[in-house]
Parts: sequence; structure tokens; C-alpha cells
Amino acid sequence: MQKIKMTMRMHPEQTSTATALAFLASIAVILMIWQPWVKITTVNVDAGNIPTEVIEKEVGIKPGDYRYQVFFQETFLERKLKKSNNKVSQVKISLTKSTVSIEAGEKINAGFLKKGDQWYQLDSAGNQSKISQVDGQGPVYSGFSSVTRIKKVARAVSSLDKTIRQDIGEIKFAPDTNNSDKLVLSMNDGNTVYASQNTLADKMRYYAGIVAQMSSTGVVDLQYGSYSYPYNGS
Amino acid sequence: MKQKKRRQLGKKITRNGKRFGALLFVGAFFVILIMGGRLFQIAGFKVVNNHNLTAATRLIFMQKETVPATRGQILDSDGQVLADNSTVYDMYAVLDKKQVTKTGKPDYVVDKKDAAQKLSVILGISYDDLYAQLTSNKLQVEFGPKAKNLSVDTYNKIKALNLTGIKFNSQPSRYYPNNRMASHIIGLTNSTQNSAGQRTLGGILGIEAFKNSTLRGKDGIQTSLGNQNETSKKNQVENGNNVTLTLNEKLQATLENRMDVLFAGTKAKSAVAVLMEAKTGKIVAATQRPNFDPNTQDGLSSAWENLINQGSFEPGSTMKTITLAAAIQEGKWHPNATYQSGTYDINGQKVVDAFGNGEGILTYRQAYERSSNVGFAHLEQALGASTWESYINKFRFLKKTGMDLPNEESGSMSFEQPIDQANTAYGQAIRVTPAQLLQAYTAIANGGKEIKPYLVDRVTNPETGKVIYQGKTTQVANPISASTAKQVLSLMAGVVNADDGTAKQYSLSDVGYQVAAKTGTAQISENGKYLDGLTNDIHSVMAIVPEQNPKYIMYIAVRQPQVFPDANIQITLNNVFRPVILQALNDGDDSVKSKTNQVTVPDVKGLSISQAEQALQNAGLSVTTLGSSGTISAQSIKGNQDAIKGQRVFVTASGSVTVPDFSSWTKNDVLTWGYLAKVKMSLTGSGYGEKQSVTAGTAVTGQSKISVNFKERT
Repeated sequence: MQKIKMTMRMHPEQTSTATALAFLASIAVILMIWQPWVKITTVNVDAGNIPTEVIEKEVGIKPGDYRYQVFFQETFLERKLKKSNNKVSQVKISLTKSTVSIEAGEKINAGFLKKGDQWYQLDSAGNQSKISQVDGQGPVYSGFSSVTRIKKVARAVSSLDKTIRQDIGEIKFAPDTNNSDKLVLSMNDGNTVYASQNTLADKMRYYAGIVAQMSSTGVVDLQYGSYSYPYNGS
Repeated sequence: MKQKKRRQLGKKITRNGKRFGALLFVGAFFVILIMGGRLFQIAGFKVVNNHNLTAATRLIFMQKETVPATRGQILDSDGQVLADNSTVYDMYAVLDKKQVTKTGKPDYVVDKKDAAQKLSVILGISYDDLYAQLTSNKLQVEFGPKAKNLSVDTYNKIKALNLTGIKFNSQPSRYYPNNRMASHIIGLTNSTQNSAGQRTLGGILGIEAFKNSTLRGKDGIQTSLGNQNETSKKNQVENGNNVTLTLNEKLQATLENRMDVLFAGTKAKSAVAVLMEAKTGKIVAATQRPNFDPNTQDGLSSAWENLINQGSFEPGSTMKTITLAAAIQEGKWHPNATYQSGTYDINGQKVVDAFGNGEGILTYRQAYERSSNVGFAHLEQALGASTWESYINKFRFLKKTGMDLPNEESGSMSFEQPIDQANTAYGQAIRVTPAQLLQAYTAIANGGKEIKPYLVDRVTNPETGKVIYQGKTTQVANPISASTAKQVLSLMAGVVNADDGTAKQYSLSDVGYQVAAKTGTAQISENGKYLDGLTNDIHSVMAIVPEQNPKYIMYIAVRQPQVFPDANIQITLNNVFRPVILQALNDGDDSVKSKTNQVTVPDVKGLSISQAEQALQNAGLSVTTLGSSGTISAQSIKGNQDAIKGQRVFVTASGSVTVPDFSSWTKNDVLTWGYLAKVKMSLTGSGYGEKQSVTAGTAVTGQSKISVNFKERT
């Protein structure tokens, strides 16, 4: 009887200790994965032309912060950034060990438009929204009056590679007797492009290659075919 | 049974129970704390491991649609497009008279005679065939290969006819603006159906295949709820990246042109030519014959193999340079020692000199200049088979180079018998690829440092301009010393300079360049036997130019020429070599650095103002600095992104900001400056800056508004 009692007494205790240990172990494992006490050493930001400092400030994470401030909260931080920065279209924040990586995609800015004293910004669909300050990170539209036309041009501009897009300084709607859809693009590299609205997107893709053939700055005429010539008197 | 008893005896283990209880409590507390926290987090943010639960619920009621990714472009080093996207159309006709449009008009072919008449002109299918198809009793008919893969042009022409019941299926396709140019390098795609039944393009040859995954991108999934076209973009489409090659379009065009002449003139079975930068390993021009037209696939059936790294063959005497390098390195090279030329017997098998038996005693220097097999059989024996084999390996023959083209061959060798071992010393009984041969010769051109040939200059994201992959010069081996390499080069120059040198046709002494070269005439073995006659040989040349401080290595090989248009096949090869190499040398550094106007912006953050301005100007960009002291804290176009040459980059430092001269600035540059300098800008006119209300050089403080007048340039 005594013997039986002993075993009976031993068993639950062993089981309970084991269970408790299992609990503690699982907590330990969770803590090991979580590692809330670990300090973040690096914050990598990849955000196109948006300055790294701006992104870091808006996310609110800097080296020296603790892991618990980020762990499991990536999605929240992503939303926070999207809300605070209207230039950001997509964000992905990931945490590996003590490194936080923030990848943010820039919203395509199709350009700026001024009506009276008010500046408007155009998004990739050509929708206009009032802005108080122009940062110049997109072409200026001049000479346009038709909203449909602005939309079409904005869409064409948005479809271009960023490299080419950021080289366009100004787009002027300048119809003449030969071409009622004529656009004049003043490029930041000093060349002037003549283009037709319908073929703007298709032909501007080759811009980098076309200007490589030019010996000096000048006019690139993409209205019909494509040819280029230096400016008069230069 | 025991179980029950144990429970009844519960009271007796109270003390232990307490302990257990406490432990359990602590454990449970933590678990509940963590799980509770997680619950609140999930309930609050509706997000689990980055999965949005709200979105997931909506997804159940949503329709999914695959958004195909746009395939990236392939560009040359100047940014010229070599492969682009297009659409092709397959035409079919609806004959089923039940088909009507929403407004009740017929949606089948009504006037069959008229349709057949008009379509036959455009498609080049006979009227009778078309009419027979259109009058068949099927519900829907197709018209064979001539009505498939129609170009956008043809499609528009047919569309303009406004024929009822003539319909099209569109599918993505690739367009190669330069047709046959570098077709084996650029490659080819075919279109396959994805799981959603959409057609997508996949690379099957060349760079299109080798860089397929990065060119392809990732299809996105667009979801929509009912008829409302609400789009919650969960799986964003990732468009393919652009691949920029090291090829220089101008050199490539010249090479293609000269190779056309060579191939037509010699009626050869095949030919290959590669021009590589000696110091970097960049392949700046390369082509082969026969080639194919990637747009029409004309010629493809006979030209699947890319000869640069797939077509391994016995190279012949160009291999002697490697034997020579090994002999010099091992101290077994005695240029003035002599031997009996003509024939040499190894265990009953003969080594024969191409120039015959009449040349008598020759020095080893002459053996190289005049390409004597007997001389090199002696050299190989002096080296010893195992030492010679170690050099074959050190020069990285029989191994893949790993250059940027698919399905590379590693080559092979017979090395059992002494006659085989001797054969390999002059390039028989060993199969190598042109890529391996070029790679081995870089060791001679670069003071012993062997570098890998490459074709992909960089991979960039077309949306952000970010450089994802940058091709670079890779040293793969160091088989010989710098002094050996120098001696080999000078001996190669001898092959060009000596009166009876086999490569004297390649001399560029008239234009002031010393060429170092070695020719090769290799026999071709088929079914274990070597074919006879010059029309059954591979004639080749490997040239390093200039001998001192080499810039380019060029290899040309022509297989089984049936016609010899010139007195000597080397003259025919020189007609390819000379114009191409001169163009390359005359372009000078321009072509080495590739004359592109798409440049990578350097990262200048943290540099001093003058360093930053210098770095950006060196990259071909204009710079405007805001500030007068300290280091650069921001740049308007970030580092490592592509930009167009001549574009303006604004950099911010500390200290006072002055008003710049706005002349020939664009409006958005003026606005960017105003934004950074916190000054209101007022713009009039259009084009480029001409006049400004505040003189350049004035301090910006106190200026509330600056007006700039613009004028167009013509």
C-alpha cells in the first residue's frame, strides 16, 4: 500500500513539474523568438527619391530602439507611414534580427498644374488635387485647358520609366496647323521634344537612345517618325 | 483503475498540488498574457502575420484576375532598345448566324465575297482559299499560319475594313527593332499559357532565356467585388526589369555587316566573331552565322546553337599560345634551340606540319611564328603530360566560364595516349568554346590575370531606375606570371611582324598599332576521322590589340568555307577584323566607357561640396548646391539610380544659400530649387529660363518671391 501511495504521490508531481517546465520552456522559446530586449542596430530604407531621414522620422524607428517596438507591429507601422507621407504608394517593413528594412514605393507624380494662383498635383490617372507647395518632382503642365487632355497626357507620362519621367521639366500643349495634338517638352537635360499626344508614351521610351546619337543639345521631333537637330545658332 | 484511486486521494497531495498550482498559475499567466495581447492585436489591427483579415473576408466574395507583368526591355550599352514588347493577333471569322451584337446587328461574316477579296490582299492568302473557308458550314473558322501572329500594322489594316464577324485573339509578343542583329545573344521568347489561361512570354534562347526570371517580373492578382470594379491590390504586379548589355550597337552593326560579307563570300557552314574589352571582360560586339530573324523566326531551324559558349570545337593552332605560355612559365622555352620540322613519329603515329616537309631545321621561335605542329609536339613532351594537363586546367579549359548565356558547354579532351597529349598542344583532341579561348587569352593580355567574359552590364528596375544587378570584371585565375604574359605577347607580335608569320595579314602598323595575334587552322573530326582539305577546316584568328597595354581581344572563326574569295583565308578574316577593331580603337575611351546618356547617379551624401560637385559632374550631370559649407546632407536624385545625362541634381549642404542663375533651367528645376530654398517662385512663359527678378548671387534670405521668365528654344 505504502509503495502504491508513493508511486501515486510521485506521478502527479512529476507530471505537474513536467507540464510546468513545458510551459516555461514554451515561454522561453517565445521570448527567444520575440527578443524584445534586443536593440535595433540598423534601419535600411529604400524609398526612391524620398530622403531616408524623412522615412525614418515618419515611421518613428531609429537605431537604438528596441525590437518590441517593431515586432508584430510591421503592418501598423506600414499604415502609419502611408498615412503620414502622401508620396508613398506601397510600404513593406521587415525585421530580421536587429535590422529593420523599410521598402517604400513612391507614388507616381504625373506633374503639376497651375490655375490662377493655385497649384494642383496630378496623380497617375491624371486626377488633380490642390497642393500648397510644389516640390518640383514632376513636370509642369502649361497651355492645357481640356481636363480629358490633361488626363491622357498624365497617363502617358506615368507609363514612362522613372529615369525618363524625371527628366521632363515642362509639358506645353502647343497645337499648330500641322499637328493639333502637338506637345512641347522642355527636358531637364536641355533638349526640347516635339511630340504628339497619342504617341508620347510609346516614343518617349526611346528617348535615352535617341539623345545618345546627338552631338549637342537640340530639338528631338517625335511627331512623325523621329529625328533630331541642334538648336538654331548653337 | 489506478487513475480513479489517485483522484480520490487528492487531499493527500495538497502541498504538492499547491506547488504545481503556483507553477501552473505562473505559466498560464504568461500564456494568457501573450495570447491575450495577440488577440487584442488581431482584433485591433485585423492583421495576422501581415495578412489583413478584413481583406481576407472580402476576398471570399471577390473575383481574382491575373494582371500579367510587363516584360523588361533588353538594351545595348547606349540605352538603345534591342528587345521590346508588342502584341500579335490571330485572326478568325465567325460564321454562326445566331451571333448578333447587343444592338441586334449581325456579328458574323455577312458579305463573304467582299471579305475574302479584301482579306486576300492584306494576308497574302488566295481568294479561293479564303472564300472556301468562309463558306464552310462550321460555326467559326481560322485561316492557317498566314492569319496568325499578325503584326499591329496588319491588325489595324484589317480593323479599318470594318468587316463584320472578323475577330482577333491578341497575345503578347516580343519585338526586336534590329531584326537579325546579335540574335543569338539577345535571344528569343515563346508564348505559353499560364494557369489563368493568359498568354505570357518566356525566354528560350540567349539573354531572354538566361535572364528570364528578372525580365519576366511577377504577375499580380487583381481582385474585384461583384460588378463594382473595386480593386484591392494585394498582390501587386511586379513588372520585369530592364537588362542592359555590354554590346555597343555601333561596333555590333559594323561586325554584323562584315560577317554578312564573310559568310556570303565563303559559303561557310558557320562563322563566329567576338570582340571583347581586354581589361574588363565586357563583350562589346559578338555575332555568328547562320543567324535568324527573331521577329519572323526565319532561319531559326538551322541556328539554335549559340556558338560562343555552346559550340565547342577543336580550336587548332590558337591553342599553341597556351602551350607556349606554359613552356615559358615552366622554363622550358628555348626560342633559339632547333628541331627537324615536317613530320614527327610518336609511337607509330605521325605529327605533321601543315607547311609540309621541305622546311628542314627550324628554331622554336619559328615553330610559333610559322605554326609548326611538330615543334609544339616537342614542347609538350618537354613539359611532360601531367604538367601540360595542369596548365589546361589552370587556364580553365574544360570548365564552364559562367558567362551570361544559357546552356554552356564545358568542352572535352582525349588525353590517354601520348599522341593525344601531343595533339592537345596544338589544339586537336581538345574541344573548347570561343568563350573559354577568349577567357584564356585574357591572362596573356592582362599580365597573367585571367578574367571572365560577360554580357550583362546591369539590371535596372524600370519604375524606380534602381540598379539591381551590376555586372563587373571577375578575375577567375592567375595561370601565368606577368613576365610570362609579356613574353607571350611579344612572341604573338612576332607572328604578325615576321615575313613568314602566319598572322601578318592582321598588321595595323600602317595606322600605328602593334597587333599581337595567332591564327589557327583546325581539322574537323566527324565520326572519329579527320576530314580532309582546306574546305573542311576551321580557320580562325585570335588577336590582342595593341600589344602594349592591350585594349581589345578579338576572335574570329569560320567553319568549312566552300569558297575562298581571297588569296588567303586570313585576308578574308582580316576584312572582318580590320574595320571592327579600328572603329573600336578610334572610338577610344568613349566606347570603353560606353557612350550612353543614361548614367547612374553617384551617392554623394556625406561628401564635401567640392567632392560632390566633382562626382556628379564626372557622371555627366549638372549640379546646383544649396548652401556654402559643410557636407552634403541630401541630393534630389538619390545615389545608385539611373538618370539622363545633363540632368540637374540638387544637393543640400549647410550655410547660406544664394540665388542661382536660372537661365536655361526648366520650370520644374526652378520649382525644385524654390522648394528646397523655401522661396516662392513665380513663373511666366514657357520653355527655358531667360530672365529673373533677382540677380544671381544674391543671398536668399529676405527674398519672399522670385519671378522667372521662360522662353522656348528652337
